[in-house]
This record gives sequence, C-alpha cells and structure tokens, in this order.
Amino acid sequence: MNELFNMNGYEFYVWGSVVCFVCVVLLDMVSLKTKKKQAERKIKAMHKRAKR
Amino acid sequence: MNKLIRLYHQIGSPPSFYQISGYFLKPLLSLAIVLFVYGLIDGLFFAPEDYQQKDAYRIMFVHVPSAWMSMFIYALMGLAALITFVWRIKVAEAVMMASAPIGAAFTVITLITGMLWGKPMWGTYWDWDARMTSELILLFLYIGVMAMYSAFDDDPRKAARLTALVVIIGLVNLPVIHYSVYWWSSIHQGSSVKIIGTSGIKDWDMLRPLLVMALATKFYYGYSMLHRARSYLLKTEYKKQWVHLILGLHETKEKTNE
Amino acid sequence: MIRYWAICQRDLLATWRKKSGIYQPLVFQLLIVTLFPLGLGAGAQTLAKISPAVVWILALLGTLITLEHIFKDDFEDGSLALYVRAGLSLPMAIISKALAHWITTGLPTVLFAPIIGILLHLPETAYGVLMLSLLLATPIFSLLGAVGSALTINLRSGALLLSVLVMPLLAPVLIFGAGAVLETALGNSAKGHLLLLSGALILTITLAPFAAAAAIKVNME
Repeated sequence: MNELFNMNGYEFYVWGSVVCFVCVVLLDMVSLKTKKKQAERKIKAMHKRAKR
Repeated sequence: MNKLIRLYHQIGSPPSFYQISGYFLKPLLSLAIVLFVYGLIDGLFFAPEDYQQKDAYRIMFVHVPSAWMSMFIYALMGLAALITFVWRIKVAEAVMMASAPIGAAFTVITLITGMLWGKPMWGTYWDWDARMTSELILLFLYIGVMAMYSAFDDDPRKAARLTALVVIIGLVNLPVIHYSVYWWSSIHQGSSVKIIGTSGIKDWDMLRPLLVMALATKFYYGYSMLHRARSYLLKTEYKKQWVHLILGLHETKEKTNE
Repeated sequence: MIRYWAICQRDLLATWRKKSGIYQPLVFQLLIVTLFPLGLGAGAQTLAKISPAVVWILALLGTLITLEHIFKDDFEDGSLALYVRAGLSLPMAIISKALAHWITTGLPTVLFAPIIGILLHLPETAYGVLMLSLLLATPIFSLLGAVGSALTINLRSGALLLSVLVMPLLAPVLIFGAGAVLETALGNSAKGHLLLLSGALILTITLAPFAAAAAIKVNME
C-alpha cells in the first residue's frame, strides 16, 4: 500500500495537490446543490406567503 | 435553417433552457467523474517519471487543466456578459453568473497546486513570477465580479447588467494585465531559471492523462455551470408560471383563485 | 463645450469650498509615509531602495480614497439625470467630472510627490521622472476611478467593492509607473516605461468614459 502512494519524496506536494483539487471540486458540488435548495425553498416560502 | 433558428430561440428562453439543460446534467457529471478517475489514476500511477522533476511533475495533471479552465471560463463568461449587455438575454445572464464561482474555484486550485509545485521546484511556495501574479489578479477579477453581483441583491436584473459591464471591462484589460505582468517579471528576475513549462512534453503516456483531465474539467464545468444556471433562473423567475409548474406549486395556486 | 466646462467648474468650486477633498489625500499620504521608517528602520539605504514603489503606491492609495465621491453626490441629488435630460453627452460629462477630480486630487498629488520622495531618500536623479510618470498616470487613476465609482453609485458602502474592481485595472499602471522611477533610480533609461504609460493614458481616455457612461445608464434605469 505504501509503495503505491510513494512519490520519491514528493508525496506531500503531489498528494496535497490532488487532495486540494478533489476538495475544491467537491465543495463546488456541495455549493451548487445548496444553491438549488435555497432557490427552491425561497420560492416555496414566497408562494405560501402569497397564498395567505 | 428554420430548425436552427427555433433551437436558438428555445435556448434563449428560460423554461426551455431549463428543460433542455436538464437532459445534459447526468451525462455530463458521469462523463466528468469517469474521466477524472481515469485521468488521475493514469497520471498518478502509470505515467512515466519525468527525468528532471521526478514524481513532482505529476502535480501538472491537476494544475495545468485547472489553469486552462480558469482562463477558458473567463472567456466564456465574457462572451455571456457581452450577450447579456447587448441583447439582455436572461439565459446569458444565468450562464455568466453561474460561471463565476466555478472559474474562481479553478483559479484557487491553480494557485494552491502551483504553490505546492513551486516548493519542491523553486524552493519557495510563492514566487512573484508572471504566471502566478496574473493568476492572482485573475482571482481578484472573479472576486470583483461576484462581489458586484451580490452587492445589488434587491434588483437582480440591474445587478446582472452591471456585473456584465464589470466582466467586459475585465476582459478588455486581461491582455493588458497579462502582458504587463510578463514584462514586469522579465525585468525583475531575468536570471531566475524557469523549470516549469508544458512545452516539453512529447511523451504520449504523459500527454494522455493531461488531455483526459482537461476534458474532465470541461465536462465538470458544463455540469456545474448548467446546474447553477438552472438555480439562477429559478430564483430570478420566481414569479413566472413555469417555475411554479416545475416545483409543483401550480395546482395550489389555481385553488386559491377559485 | 462651455456647458461641459461649467460642470467641471462647478465641481472644482464645490471641492474648493470644502477644502477637505484637497488636503485629505495628502494628509493620508503623509501619515502612511511616516509609518514606513517607523516599521522598517530609518536607514537611508533601505528607504531609498523601496522609495520608488512607496511613493507610487501612496499616490495610488491617496486617489483611491477619494474616488467614491466622484459621482455619488451628483447621482443622489439628481444632477446626473438632469445632464442626460438636458441633452448633454454622458461620456463628455464624465470626462469633465474626471478632469475636475484630477485637478483637485491628481495634480496636488503630483506636486506633493517630491516631498514624499525626499522623506524616503529617493535618489535625486529620479524626481523628474517621478513627477512626469505621475503626471501621466494620475489622469488614468481619475478615469478608471470614475468607472469604478459609476458602477457603485447605487451602493451605500461601496468603498471596498470599488477597490476590488479598480485594483486589477490599476496593476499595469503601477507596473509601468513605479518601473519608470525604479529604472531611473538605477541609472537606466525610463523611456519605454513612460511611452507605455502614455499609451495606457490614451487607451483609458478613449474607453473609460464610455464604460462609465454605460454603468451610469444602467444605474439610472
């Protein structure tokens, strides 16, 4: 297992970059999902208010 | 030709854009994920070692595609901004505003991975080298675009047009900034040797993961941008009937009318 | 033409009556410049080394703090709308207002720069180029500032946003301007830098008024 992740002394930099890349992309995915939920919730709330 | 014109108008109208883009979301995301996984495994484990930089060059497989995307997205955002400003097409607004956070995300990735690449190669995390500096300024441009829009939260149409103007001004200035920064760094550190450059890649085994990752980031951008643009349209068109139909609010509204 | 001059005159008069608009940026520069020796140590050599950049950055920041008000008052009391109603060309009106801003903040900054230079031990050979480069660049500050100010007139606290918007645009100007002074201080010719700076000035004069006019029009809708 250790051999697989071995980067000849550059582990921190290479894996750090990959982790950073994956994390930012995942963050982006979370944020786009929350954006959508926020939009839907806002519209539904407004709709309810309008109905009253 | 008629079909083409119809398609053009369909894409320009928010409800059909919402509908059509819905079909693309899943395929784009799955393509992006598959290519990400393939590209990363290929690049990290199977691509041959670089004779000069050893394994550190593997950072390239995330750094370079992100750098390409950070500029590509700004160009697309600029195009959408032009359309927004001249023709006031709402879908273009949505595309513009959806692109900004993704572009900023890729710019951040580029900067961080660049720093992580710089430490083993240059011996320092940050060097005021031309590429890093102009990338940092690009990040400021993205931040300015997003800040401009969020400053006007009461009037989204006006905010979008002003933001489009900011994007266009940035687009005009981008080449000026780019070249002036290059010129500046060539005066200040003419002696420093630049090891990092992608022009030297000739090995297909190194090039393949890079191209795969470049494609993957493009697909991911497509997915994220469409997804964000859809939310943007929902939010700005909240009074329209098609939004109510999609969210299943329509029937309740008819009841209240009776 | 007389009408545009009248706009400029009116702005000049308003600033002259208030006075604070003129000396504020200069006092600001003086305050900041005092901090440099205090933080860096008063060694003449250290100061001389950073002086071209510091004088330039101070000139830039000094104008930046005054930018917010270029259009704000006129927008809020409706004079801007009146100019448009009266058939004045908006870009021209913007040029007149930017000119007034330049006369009240840019010009004093240019004249004040040698004093800052002396305080920082700027090499004697560099003063001419320092003033020339600032003379070329301060109109750019005013014009680009007008664009930023036009974009943010509707906002209550747009100062930070304005800096975020204007900073990337000013980066090339700083590179060429401070570069010109630095080259002269090192004993090289600054001709290339100054020519590029004039090019930037011409480009800004032709484009910035239209960008600012577009922003004001959107804000008025």
